[in-house]
Amino acid sequence: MNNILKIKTFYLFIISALLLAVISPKAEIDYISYGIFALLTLIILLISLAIYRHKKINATTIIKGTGELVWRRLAKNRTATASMIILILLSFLAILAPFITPHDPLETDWGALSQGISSSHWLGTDDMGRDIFARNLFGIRVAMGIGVTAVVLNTLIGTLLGLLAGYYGGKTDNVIMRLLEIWNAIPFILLAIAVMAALGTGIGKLILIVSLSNLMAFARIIRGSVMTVREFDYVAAAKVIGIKDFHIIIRHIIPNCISPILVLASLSIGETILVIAGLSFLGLGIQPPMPSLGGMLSNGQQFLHENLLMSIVPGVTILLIVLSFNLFGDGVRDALDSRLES
Amino acid sequence: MLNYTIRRLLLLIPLLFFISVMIFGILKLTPGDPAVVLLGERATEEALELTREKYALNSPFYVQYVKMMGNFFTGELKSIYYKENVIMVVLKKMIPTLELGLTALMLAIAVSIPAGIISSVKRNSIFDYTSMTTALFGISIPVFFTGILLIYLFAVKLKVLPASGYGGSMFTIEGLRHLVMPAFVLSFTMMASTTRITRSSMLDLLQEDYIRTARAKGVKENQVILKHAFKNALMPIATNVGNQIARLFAGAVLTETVFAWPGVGRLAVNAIFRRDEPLVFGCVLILSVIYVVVNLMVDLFYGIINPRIRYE
Repeated sequence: MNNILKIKTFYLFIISALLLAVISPKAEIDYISYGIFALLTLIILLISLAIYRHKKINATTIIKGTGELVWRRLAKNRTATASMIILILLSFLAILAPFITPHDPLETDWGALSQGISSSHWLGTDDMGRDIFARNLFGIRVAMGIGVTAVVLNTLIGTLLGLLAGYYGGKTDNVIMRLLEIWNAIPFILLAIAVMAALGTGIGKLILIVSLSNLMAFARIIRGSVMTVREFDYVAAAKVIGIKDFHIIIRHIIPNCISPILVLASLSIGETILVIAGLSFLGLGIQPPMPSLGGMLSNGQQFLHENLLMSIVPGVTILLIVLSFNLFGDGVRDALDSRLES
Repeated sequence: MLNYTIRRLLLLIPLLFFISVMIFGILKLTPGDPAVVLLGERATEEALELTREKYALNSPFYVQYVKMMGNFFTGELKSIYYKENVIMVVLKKMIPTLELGLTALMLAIAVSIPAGIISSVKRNSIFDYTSMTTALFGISIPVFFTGILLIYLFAVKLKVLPASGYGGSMFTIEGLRHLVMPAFVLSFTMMASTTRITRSSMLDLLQEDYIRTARAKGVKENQVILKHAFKNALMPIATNVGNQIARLFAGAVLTETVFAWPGVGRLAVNAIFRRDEPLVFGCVLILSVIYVVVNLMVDLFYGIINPRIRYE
């Protein structure tokens, strides 16, 4: 038992997040998968609680690595911790949405159109009698899922381009950076409009266009730090003893420029979620009847006179998600930036 | 400086060429027969043949591109919905966009630069916390949500301002009444980023040695802040404002949509829903060109305000 408790919380977190994502129940009613899912969630929560208590007993002042140092700084930052807790709660709400509300987000109830707050519909119903709370939960699920996926893709592509440009330099650098400059010369919203006009709308296309939007920022920052790291003696030494470029990049370059990547990625999640909500608001993003926060707001604006809840609920939810991600990003930046100071 | 300007202007030509090729290429990805897309399902075979002839649809990519650009410049490229030359359609919608954008920008500069300076001078004061929290909300709140809240408050509840639409030129009372809410909503996001940039660059500069020297030799505090510190902080602020000016011409699509403002951003979005392919092409191309040119002008302007920049 003692050995299990020594697993780093970090890896446990990753594994449990993956597990939850893979087996998360879909919108259809399937009680067996719900049961398994709930059980697993409970077990993971219990294990993390046990690890937390175990760590508290064995807590030492000796810090083992930079990761732990950064983590401690982040935990000390109150706003960052608060935003992290809000984000974890929101993601649990999103993943567990079908458990929390008995209503189907797509089910219309013509007997209960545009109602206020009641015990059966916690946040009322919209113009077609759909439960706003249920739609909101599924909207959070879609927004966070697509937002995080897009940022991860964006980071991977941007980092790859920046690495290639910075490491090889010369012609490769010139070609990549010039192409990115052209790509960047078209304002993002217009690019999105052109792609949507040509290919039509859809979640895959939405993720594609958003994940290609911010490449310049990532590539520039990573290129800069790779160019500094490339000149260090240990890279030259690695080259001299004949290690392949690929291994040098993986082993020696990436670990030394990971912190700007992390900072930029965590800072851009909020913005990306705003962009996706904006595109959905315009009718170019997630298409109805699939619930999306932006789409709910655009619907809510039409019924502003009758039902204010239809716009307030999704609006406040977007604000909460983006605000938490922004605060969390600020926390990550502070934790990583001041690493050299103390 | 002159050499640099000429070189940048010459570099503009290949850049614009690549941009137009890219936009054309993206729009060429549309599945289906482009002639059918242009004319609709019920078009006759002769009409389809004529359109194919006009846009050279049976020829290879580069011939189609040259034909398209030729049509575009001679005004042959007509919007399907407006039945008018796309360049004219876009330019007509430019006036409301610029009225909205420039008013919002003025408002944002007038509020955010003083707010940023005061926040940095009175660091950790109540004013600082309030303005920084407001700025944080400003970058986190969706523009359309602010818009909807304001419409609810001022148009639905208090009934003092019109809910949406364009009331004519901004120099008339009616035009101004329609402009107030969209301009404020648009400026709110601009304010947030400009205030944050002003505050952080002022905070950096106020710790410099020459500021301490200026204070030590008895320069008045106002002079120290405005002349010694703020003048040097102008550079990052100008970069931020410059980016916003360039973006402004592309239209504030979201704000224009919430307030049904007849600007270029809304024109481009509506063109998609109306399946108006020539107008989409024209809009995206013209707006991207304006964006690039304005960006270049902003870049050249830096050289004038900051003589420390030397162009090789």
